[in-house]
Amino acid sequence: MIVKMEKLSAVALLEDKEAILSGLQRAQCIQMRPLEALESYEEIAALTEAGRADVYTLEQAASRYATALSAISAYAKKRSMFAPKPTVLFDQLEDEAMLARGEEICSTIEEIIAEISKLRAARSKDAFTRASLQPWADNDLPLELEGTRSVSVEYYLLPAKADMTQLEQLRQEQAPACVLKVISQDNEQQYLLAICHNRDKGALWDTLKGFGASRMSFSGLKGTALENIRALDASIAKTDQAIADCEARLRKVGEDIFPLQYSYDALTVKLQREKTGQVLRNTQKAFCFTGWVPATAREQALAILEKYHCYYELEEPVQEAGDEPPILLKNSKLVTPYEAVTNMFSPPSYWGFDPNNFVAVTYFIFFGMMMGDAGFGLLLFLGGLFLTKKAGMKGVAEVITMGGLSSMIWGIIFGSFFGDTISVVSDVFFGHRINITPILDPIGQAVVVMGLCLVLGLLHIFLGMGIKAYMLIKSGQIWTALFDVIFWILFILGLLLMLAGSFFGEPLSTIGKWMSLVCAVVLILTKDRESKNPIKRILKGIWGLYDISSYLSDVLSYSRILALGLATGVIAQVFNIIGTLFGGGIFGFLFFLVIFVIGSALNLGINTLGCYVHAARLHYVEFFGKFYESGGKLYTPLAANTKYVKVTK
Amino acid sequence: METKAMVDTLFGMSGPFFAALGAALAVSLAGFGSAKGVGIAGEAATGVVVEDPDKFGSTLILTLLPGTQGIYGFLIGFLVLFFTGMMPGGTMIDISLEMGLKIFAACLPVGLVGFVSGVAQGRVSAAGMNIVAKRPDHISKGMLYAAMVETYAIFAFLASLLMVLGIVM
Repeated sequence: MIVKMEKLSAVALLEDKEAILSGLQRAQCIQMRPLEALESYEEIAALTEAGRADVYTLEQAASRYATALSAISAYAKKRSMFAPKPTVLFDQLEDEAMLARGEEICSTIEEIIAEISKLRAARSKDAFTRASLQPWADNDLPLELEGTRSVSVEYYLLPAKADMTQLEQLRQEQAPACVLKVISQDNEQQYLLAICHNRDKGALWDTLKGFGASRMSFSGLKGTALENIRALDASIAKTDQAIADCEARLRKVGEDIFPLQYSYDALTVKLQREKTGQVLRNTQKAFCFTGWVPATAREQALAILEKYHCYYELEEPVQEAGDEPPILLKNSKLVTPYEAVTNMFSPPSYWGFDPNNFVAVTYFIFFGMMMGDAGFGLLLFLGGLFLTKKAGMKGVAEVITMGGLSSMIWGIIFGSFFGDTISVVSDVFFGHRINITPILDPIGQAVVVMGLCLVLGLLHIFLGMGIKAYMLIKSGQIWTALFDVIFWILFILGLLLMLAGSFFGEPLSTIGKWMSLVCAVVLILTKDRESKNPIKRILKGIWGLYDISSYLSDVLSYSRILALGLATGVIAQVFNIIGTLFGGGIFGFLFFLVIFVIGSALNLGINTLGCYVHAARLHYVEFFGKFYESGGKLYTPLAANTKYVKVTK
Repeated sequence: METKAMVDTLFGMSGPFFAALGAALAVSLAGFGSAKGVGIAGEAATGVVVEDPDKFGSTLILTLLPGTQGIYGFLIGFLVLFFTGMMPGGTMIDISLEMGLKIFAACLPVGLVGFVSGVAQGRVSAAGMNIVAKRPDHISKGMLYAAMVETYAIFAFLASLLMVLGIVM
């Protein structure tokens, strides 16, 4: 059921603003909207100025906390995936001591992170220097040595492909008073030490340049390359230790980061409240706002406003005026989970129809039929129950739980418990085959089950058309309902009777023949009701009958139920065949067990996913296609939406 | 007379051959499709996970969706081998040429459709990774698009399954 919404507009004193907004946020009873939506906006705008949201400092703080939280997340103690969030009362969100503690943790984290990044920078600088010194390790001259009065010591880098013998020949001609030594070489470079008389220094450089050499300098380094490398290694080890110490400190801090999470959430809640400031308008003493209030929360909202000096009024939305109120659905406990399925397609339009009561029933049936196995159904049911009860998950988890229940029912009908596991195990390991006779055998009686699927599909489609007719009649379009929906249903029923007649004989064929004929004529004549031109009208009507093909394909689409149901059983059977390859005995049994567990996990995974999406598809395409008015926007009240704690009233 | 005997022997051998060929095609064509599809989706998934490793779970689901074709093909191939007794330890039943050809034909839907739809579904899944990257709340919509492609693999599997069961039972 779609909850009725009312437009609430109010004017109150600025001094009560924080208290009023806080109260509304606590009760989650209003979705603010811009005042521009009001008819009297021009008049209000003339008297007031736009409200401002002073969120800069809050956002700064929130983003600091978020950064700290994401930095600490790798070191913090992991919360179990299924553990429910800790709860905090709304009124306790401003606890000074906790907020101070959160701030303290945040700055500690920031401090340590800054230190780590400083250390990392130093480490990578050391590592870089060390890498550049490594090729010179075999040079035993101190790096600061530049030569004597008449001899210089120089270092060069030479491309690996430069030919040393050729270079040496040329050097003997050009700069004879020199010694060249290759210290080391790798894939890219040769590392060259040159000791040469000052007289030949220029000539040597000219020669080397021709081979693509470049000078290497070790400015600022003292001692041999090896000594430097050792010193750097020691320094890197020290930095690594310091980083490890910092990380240990982070882990220590990470042991209890709840105050920080609490502070972050408290900030977000405040931020959410402050942001409504953007849609308010102020005078010097008063402010005004407007928003949607669901009928169910009406009394709550008014009670909050009554506590302060304020003026308010409530109005009903008007479709003709273009009002599009947000959607709040209220359904029974069993139906509510299926809202997740419907909303994934799109929430219903406020002026449309909430299909969830029907979706709950048909989704339940189809999901179970597609799974069609009592064993897997039991697993899904227990697993889903665990997720909903222990981890407090809602929506899809509950849909799966109910789907498990439905699978158990269909599994009993189809005589399937993890496929044919009961028969196989009793036969191979206990020597006495227990055969289960199913009420309906999906393999042996595949055609019957297929027929059942198609009949269910047809009913599903008729249900959709019925809802369409209901909505048309409700809005006064009786003729449209009759000619566009009801006669189609009768026409299809007539065709079906004819089909049934070909199996069961008279009088079904005759009734069906006349029924479909009359309906076809009516449909042809009424398809294009606006047109005055009789020829165009009839031609369009005949063309309109072609829609029958879309009904046909819609119905046939439901045969996927059989296919998915068979797939579960057949996959399980195949794994059972593989599992019993080694026959009975203890080893045979262990092998069977391993294959059974792996196979069942795989089977369950694939089929749950398959059933979930394909049951949804049957609703979105075949069912919703007949009547659904989508496009609603979900009701998102001003509330405390938090990440780490659960806020309660 | 001798020619007739030869032809008879040849026909006698052809039955099992065509049945085995069918099983082989069902497994390998559908397997090709899934391998390619999962590959395409996996490449796209890697791109998403590079940016945000926490999305591994959601990308995994989308990556695995095109994998079902391979399973359907394997099931059909397996059932053919099992029912004809061509598996190790089985006693091979007498397969006439007619029966062999029928089994061969029965294997075609799951093989051919599995091949094409596996690849197509892989591409849809890869495109769905965009949803995971930018609007992770709406991942189930991406799954639905991929599942639309799978519809045809399911129908082909159903057709093959019914045919195989009808022929051997």
